[in-house]
Amino acid sequence: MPDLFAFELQDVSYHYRVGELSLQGINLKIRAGERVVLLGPNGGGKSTLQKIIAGLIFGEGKFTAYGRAITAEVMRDKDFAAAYRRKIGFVFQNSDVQLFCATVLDEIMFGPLAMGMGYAEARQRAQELLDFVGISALAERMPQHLSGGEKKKVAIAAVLAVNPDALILDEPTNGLDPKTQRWMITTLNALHRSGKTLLVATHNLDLVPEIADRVIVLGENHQMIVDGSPDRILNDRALLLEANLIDEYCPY
Amino acid sequence: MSIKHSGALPKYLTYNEQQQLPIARKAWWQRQDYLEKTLVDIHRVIVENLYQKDVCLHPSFLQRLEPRVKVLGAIFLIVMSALTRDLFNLAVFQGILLLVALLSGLRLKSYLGRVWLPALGVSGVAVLPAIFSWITPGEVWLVIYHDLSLQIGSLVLPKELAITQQGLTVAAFVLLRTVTSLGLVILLMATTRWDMITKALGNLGMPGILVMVLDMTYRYLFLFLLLLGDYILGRKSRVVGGEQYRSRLSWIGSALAGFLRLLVEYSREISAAMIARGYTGEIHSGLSQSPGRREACFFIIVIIIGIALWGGEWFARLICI
Repeated sequence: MPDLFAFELQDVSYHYRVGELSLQGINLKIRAGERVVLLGPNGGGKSTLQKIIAGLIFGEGKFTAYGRAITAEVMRDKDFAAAYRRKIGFVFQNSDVQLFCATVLDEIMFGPLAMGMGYAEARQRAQELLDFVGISALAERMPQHLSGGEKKKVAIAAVLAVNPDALILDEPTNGLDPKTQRWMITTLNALHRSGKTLLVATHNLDLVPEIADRVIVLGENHQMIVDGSPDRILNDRALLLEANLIDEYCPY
Repeated sequence: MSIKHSGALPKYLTYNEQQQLPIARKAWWQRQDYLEKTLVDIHRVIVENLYQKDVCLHPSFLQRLEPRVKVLGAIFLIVMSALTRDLFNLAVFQGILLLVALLSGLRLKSYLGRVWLPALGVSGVAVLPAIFSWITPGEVWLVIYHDLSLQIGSLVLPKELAITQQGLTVAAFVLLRTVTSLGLVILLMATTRWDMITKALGNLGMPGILVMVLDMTYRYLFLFLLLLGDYILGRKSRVVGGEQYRSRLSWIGSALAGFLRLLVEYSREISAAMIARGYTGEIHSGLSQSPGRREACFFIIVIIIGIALWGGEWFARLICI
């Protein structure tokens, strides 16, 4: 399926109540295997858009993922919802909200066991992931006792444990030390090379050239301002200022 | 601790499974998941708060008044409604409250729902047995059964069951007093920003520490509600297979534990931040607005209505004279 769109949004809006939009008229197509970065100011609607794509909240307009319309009604079918969640991995900005098991190992094995994998295979998969993200020594630790960077690694490992086709990450480098940030960039690119679709929301403009094929900018009016290549967008100082992504003293 | 990454992706991650999504089955009826329901409730609370913020800022009748006058007026009328022995006056007062709600830009449906639903659900249910002759004997208003021998186990029921006028009066008093108190509190809260209410309470003599606790509770309640919403979404995003009831219960347990832990962490941080900003235990709060002629007129009207509510027939006779 070379030309399959992973996600298609047609005139998608979301509001908490009438007149209070957090996302307005989004038209967007993301191909399978693309690396897309969402840029925008605080409150611009990046997280809302990601949650709609992850099938966690539902807006107005038409949203299709891998050829299927995603609505509140279809997500009520538990089998469909489980298949969708397996296909789309979501890494939240606040890792605390998605880590709920007693130990790091349980956390990573939760997904594989839930999708019916045998214990031995799930355990082996978890060990591979622990080695991959470099937290083998933390396997028996409680997630809440870890540092921010370690929690983020556990959250990523837990999401990767079900081998999703698409990964949605909300501010993945926020609060990480430079070494862990570099690890994150390397990991995301390795996942991209293996064919994963990436949709990353960030404020960090330095991250963009390293992890994006395409950049989408959401404005303070909750609309999509521009959709283009990283070079084009990062070199458009007026646009970055308009979108409140830089200030006048910023070197960009 | 030194952390070593293996570098290479695990083999299973080097390919996409490319499984097609199944076709969703349409369910004609499905019970709403309680976690979903919690999410919906959180959303509702946030929307209601946004609506309330708009109503507070709307330059309507009650919004223009100084908060202290509104607080005192509400307290005075609540006391008067508790003292009154005239049902008719209480009923008329409901009309006045409704009129004030409309003049202050509140939606009728929202006001009635917030006042009458809890009143009927709590006081209404509690007072329901009082309308029957078994609890409140008196003049019969409606006979339910007469001259019938009923026995449940060893319990022999009286031969007659009726609704009595005295019972109805007692129930109506309890219900209308509840509705009056709730209506007044809702009018006050819907037309006054929370920080203004707490400042007014502080100015009227409530200890500063209590005012601060009320302020912070409101602020952090929302923070934790939002966090709870994210907790539920975080779990939802990872449910990739059939879920067992036991696993859900265990999640709820761990989520509660997580919340308590966060509460403790937040409390420590907040306390440190307050001390860093010079908090010494003394609270200084003030209101920029001062009572003027408008507030004086309002308070006189409130006193007249309050006395009318309490005085009943005596007041009506006084006015006639």
